[in-house]
Amino acid sequence: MQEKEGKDIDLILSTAYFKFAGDVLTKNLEQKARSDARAFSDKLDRILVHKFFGLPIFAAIMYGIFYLTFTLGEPPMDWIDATFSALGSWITGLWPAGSESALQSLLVDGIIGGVGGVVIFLPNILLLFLGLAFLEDSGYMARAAFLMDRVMHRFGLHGKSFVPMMTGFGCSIPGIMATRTLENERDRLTTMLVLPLMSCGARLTVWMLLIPAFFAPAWRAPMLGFIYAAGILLAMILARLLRVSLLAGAEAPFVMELPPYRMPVGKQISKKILERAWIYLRKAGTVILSISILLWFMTAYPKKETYEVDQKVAQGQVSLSEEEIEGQRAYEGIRYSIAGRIGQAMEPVIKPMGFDWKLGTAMIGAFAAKEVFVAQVGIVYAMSDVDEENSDLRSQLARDYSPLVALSLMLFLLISTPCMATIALTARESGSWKWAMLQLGGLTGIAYLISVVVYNVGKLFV
Amino acid sequence: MTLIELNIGQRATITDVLGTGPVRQRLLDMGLLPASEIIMERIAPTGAPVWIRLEAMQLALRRNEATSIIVEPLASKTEVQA
Amino acid sequence: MSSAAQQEPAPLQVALAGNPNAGKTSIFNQLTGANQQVANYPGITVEKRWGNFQLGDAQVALLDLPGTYSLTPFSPEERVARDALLNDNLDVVVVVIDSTQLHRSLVLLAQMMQCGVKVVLAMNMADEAQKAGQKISLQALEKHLGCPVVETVGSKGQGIDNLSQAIAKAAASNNHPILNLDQGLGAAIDRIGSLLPAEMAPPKIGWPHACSLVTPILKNASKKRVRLRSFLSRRNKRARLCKKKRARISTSS
Repeated sequence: MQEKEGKDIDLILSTAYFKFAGDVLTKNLEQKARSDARAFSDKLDRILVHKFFGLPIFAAIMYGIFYLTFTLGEPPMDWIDATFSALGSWITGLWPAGSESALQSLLVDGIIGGVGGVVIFLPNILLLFLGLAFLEDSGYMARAAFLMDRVMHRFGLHGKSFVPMMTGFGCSIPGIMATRTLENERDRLTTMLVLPLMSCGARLTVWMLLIPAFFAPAWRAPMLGFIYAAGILLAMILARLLRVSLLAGAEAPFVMELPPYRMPVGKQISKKILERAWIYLRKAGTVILSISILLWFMTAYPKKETYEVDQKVAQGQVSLSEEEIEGQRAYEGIRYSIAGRIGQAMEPVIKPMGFDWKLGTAMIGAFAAKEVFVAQVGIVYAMSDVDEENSDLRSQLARDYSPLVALSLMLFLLISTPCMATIALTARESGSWKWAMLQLGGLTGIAYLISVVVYNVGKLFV
Repeated sequence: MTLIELNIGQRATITDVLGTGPVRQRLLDMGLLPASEIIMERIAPTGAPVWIRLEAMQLALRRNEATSIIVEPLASKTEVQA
Repeated sequence: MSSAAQQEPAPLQVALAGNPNAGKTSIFNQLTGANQQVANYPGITVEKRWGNFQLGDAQVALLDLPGTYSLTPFSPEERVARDALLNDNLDVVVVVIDSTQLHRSLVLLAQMMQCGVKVVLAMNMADEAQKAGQKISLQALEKHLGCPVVETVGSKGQGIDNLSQAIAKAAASNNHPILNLDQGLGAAIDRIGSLLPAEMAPPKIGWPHACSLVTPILKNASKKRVRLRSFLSRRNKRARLCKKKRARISTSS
């Protein structure tokens, strides 16, 4: 067995290294670790990766993390909301009442509205990252990969794809970066390409806006679950398709270490969360701020000089209250703006999905980054409807669209390309723009198809 | 016999590690070498991967990797004849 | 009087290496604090993390190498770690290991020692190992390996001062660690080493470095014996060209 005559240099070298290590230990180790050193970890594993209970426990843990993300996130979200509203009205108060100022509009509608709409979801993002960091640092992530590998493997992925995909629920950016743990290029590419289908934190902002607007309280959690599940299912199918077409080939070795359970260290967890939250906020502060300003400009200009509603009132064709006239003016104004025009030009294309030009206008922003959708819808509505006293964005949306349109919209936003940063990162990490363009074109095309089908089939039943 | 055929709780000595390239190298790097002693600890609920112990280390291997490891079971209560 | 002559000395180049899950990142955080940066290695998918810290009078540039189980260049991470060890002119490499996984971890240490760098062994997670009843003599281990050995608990910040001192000590010393591989293998490596061009041969660059050059050749040889000869002749040719060039430069100047 030992005499392989250099035929097997890999084995000879490894044996030599292990022999060296063994010698070091026999000569210097005064007392070996007890064989029951892992007794506690083993006991936990007997439950957590149990033959029958392992998977249900895993599902319960995931559900628990999502549940806490939403319930614990609620109060701080209200505080942030109140702060931004106060800031907005303080700035509005700096100008004399009734006067129109471009700067005031830019500050209140563009900047505070846009950035506030992103910052408000920070509590959710922090809580989700907290849950994921806890799973990672405790050692449970490796168990999750062990439990999930057969399933992941069946769909052409790797058990280790699971961790990046889970991270993708927080944000696609760290998720794509985490695909580095995959050793095989094809495993890595497959994971990277389908990872944006994991509903990320930015899209969570969209779900948090849309789901309560269109669905009764009892349906909200199942609806959210459905959106996440739809993304996962589609990712699996696409991964499988990729592995038999563009990315067919040999797999990486699956030899995964299962470290013992460890109590996560608060300092390390907080560092990890703060690092990720900082990336999120920096995005809000730079990309989203500039997009907000650009979109504000696109929605505010060019200004309309005369309004049809004024003429109609003057000619006595209609009689409207002052408020209604204001609303009509704003509506005409946004239609006249650059964004409104692009939205209208897009209407024939997006109509089969049930969207009108307003949603089209908001989706212009969503192409740059998903969370901008919320900011953009906010701007579109804040400016086209002056009746802002008692009706918030949600009730306005619910008034304008049916739940079926909302479903079609959510599916489109889920599947189509997540954000510019993801595309750019995919290009960098895969080493070629070819893959990034495939991701962009492929996902957007699939999103369009699915939304059209869902909307039109749904119409038959509603 | 190969590692995948071991019963849960069974001990065995590795006699050979088949295969080539990165997969085999990784097995060797982890210390899955001839004469190493391992224990089969559990199998995932879905039937794979397998979970083994090697010294103080616990490792998960897919079926593919597990079948490339040739083992000699150590006499135990479950299997005396081997 | 001294301020005039003050000259910023080049920072010490130190790298952290180790297995995945060995707690390398927590050691890195403990050493550098907030002075750290993250980016990608150009063209590939591996993350590069580096930072600075002050060690007595010296400035230390710390590089966090990707976590690997070995230095066989199969994955991009392993290639990055290997290239840094062979080409980066590192002053010290800190090998961070999980004290509860000594056998496997020391294998990586052995491979590091082959690269001809000064090594410090950080036995991380020492608290867990002690709790499990493991006892090891650090002095004996230092003597056996020929490099400083410290116990650390990265998550709690224990042993970090000792680690810093060990880095300073290793940087100041001239001793390369000792690696006694299996006799037969050592002889084989020596034989191949003797075929290397004179400049690369053991006496000039030290035995461990030669060994690190030879190991990949051995690996290739197992696949294609013919390659070995062409590899060596290419190396010889390159070495001769280098010599010529150098001679030309020295005569012209």
